[in-house]
Amino acid sequence: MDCKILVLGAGGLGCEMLKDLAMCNVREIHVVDMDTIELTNLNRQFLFRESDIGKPKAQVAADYINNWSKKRRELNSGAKRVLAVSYVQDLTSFEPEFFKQFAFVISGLDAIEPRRFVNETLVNITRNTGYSVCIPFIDGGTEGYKGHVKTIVPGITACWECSIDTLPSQQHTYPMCTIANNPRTTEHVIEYALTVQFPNADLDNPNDVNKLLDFSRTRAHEFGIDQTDLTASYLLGIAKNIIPSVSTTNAMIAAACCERATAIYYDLVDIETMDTFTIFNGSNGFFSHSFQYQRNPDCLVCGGL
Amino acid sequence: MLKLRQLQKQKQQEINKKGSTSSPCTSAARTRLQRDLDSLEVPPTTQLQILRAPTDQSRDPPLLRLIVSPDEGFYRKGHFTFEMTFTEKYPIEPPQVRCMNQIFHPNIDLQGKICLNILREDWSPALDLQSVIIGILFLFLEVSGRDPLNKQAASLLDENPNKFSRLVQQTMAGYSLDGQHYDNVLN
Repeated sequence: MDCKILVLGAGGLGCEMLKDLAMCNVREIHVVDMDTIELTNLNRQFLFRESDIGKPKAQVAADYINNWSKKRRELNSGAKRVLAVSYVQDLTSFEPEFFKQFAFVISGLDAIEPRRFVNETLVNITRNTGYSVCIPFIDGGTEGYKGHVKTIVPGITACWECSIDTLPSQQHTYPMCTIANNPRTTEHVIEYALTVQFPNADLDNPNDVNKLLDFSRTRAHEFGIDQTDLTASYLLGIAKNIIPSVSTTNAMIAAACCERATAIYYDLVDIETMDTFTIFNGSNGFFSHSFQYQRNPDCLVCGGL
Repeated sequence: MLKLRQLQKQKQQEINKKGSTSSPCTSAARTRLQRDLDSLEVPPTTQLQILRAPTDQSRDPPLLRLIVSPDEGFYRKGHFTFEMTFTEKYPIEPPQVRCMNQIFHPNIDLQGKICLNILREDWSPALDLQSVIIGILFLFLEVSGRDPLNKQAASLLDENPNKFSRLVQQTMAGYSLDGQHYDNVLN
């Protein structure tokens, strides 16, 4: 594909996307991520090696793609050159002008705020240029076995904000009144142990974790809460707010995102009538559904466009 | 990308025909709040003042003041003031609500913190200012001792509702209780 694509995030989804786009021979792939590589990333973020721990994800990923492209051309001088460019900085620090150079923006982000920022920026670009610049935004997201792909063509299909009401509640905090007086679940007793009984616990110290576990078990017993789930790894999962990441889900969602980009690039879909949302759930069998999300005429971002 | 480019051309022509240049709005959070305000039907026992409107160019977040004057229940005849701040993350995140009076209430502590499910774990972007106002009003109409913030008030309500009612009346008149000052909210 003879175009420039911006990839947001070089994590689980980002690595997959970079690989997919490189294999599609995209001329230039730019990648933004301000994170650094951690040991726990290595099982699924396959562009990184143990020696890369501590280095910026975007830079290592871009280097990998550039090296791969160079080697491929050494073996076959006819192979297309793929250039990767990295930005180790906060996504929201980019001006709208920066985005205008790209044909597509594809995101594998892990939070809502940066997605809203990109969506608003791209919709405003289309609005302010009177449709002379219109950059499709393809947003992938995964959580465990679940995933989604949203294809946003600003001003033409539903934007990210049009579907904001469908998001689940984002609050992972528990009301103090409940955890202090009326705990009902293991999460509540763990939260109490973390915030009240042992607030300075070092979660990387096994002794502290055991102490937290003791507090939680005693309290769970006191309030008659089932303790079968209450293990050290479960406690750490709650404490560090760990959402399990499944590499096959990432691979599928990333591939679906890149497929949407190629479909638009090669005119394989009719943009006004195509299915713009795909949801995937692999937790019980294999469920996937695509549909056209309607634009919200009162949308706060793309309304009136 | 011929299809997309054609579509863009078509849209450009439509704009030229209409001659409309739709202006970009302020932030999504502020526009949403303004829409909440436009469609708001303030319940008769409440009063809403806009201290900082969402349309203000100010950098500070929009700020609303709500005065609740329950016409029945334990807190009848009182006037309770709340302040609501709306961050740029609204409606993904609920507004921050504080009670500006020191009052004796099972779900409101003396710092003005409020325990109301829809302002915390049950918040959803589908809720709006109207739901928040009704939620706050309900704190006074249907007083409950579950999930208390003021444990003393909650246990008293469960054990001895008559005494609870008497203490609520006294504290609303500005009497102290166990050395704790309460605000007179009857005027």
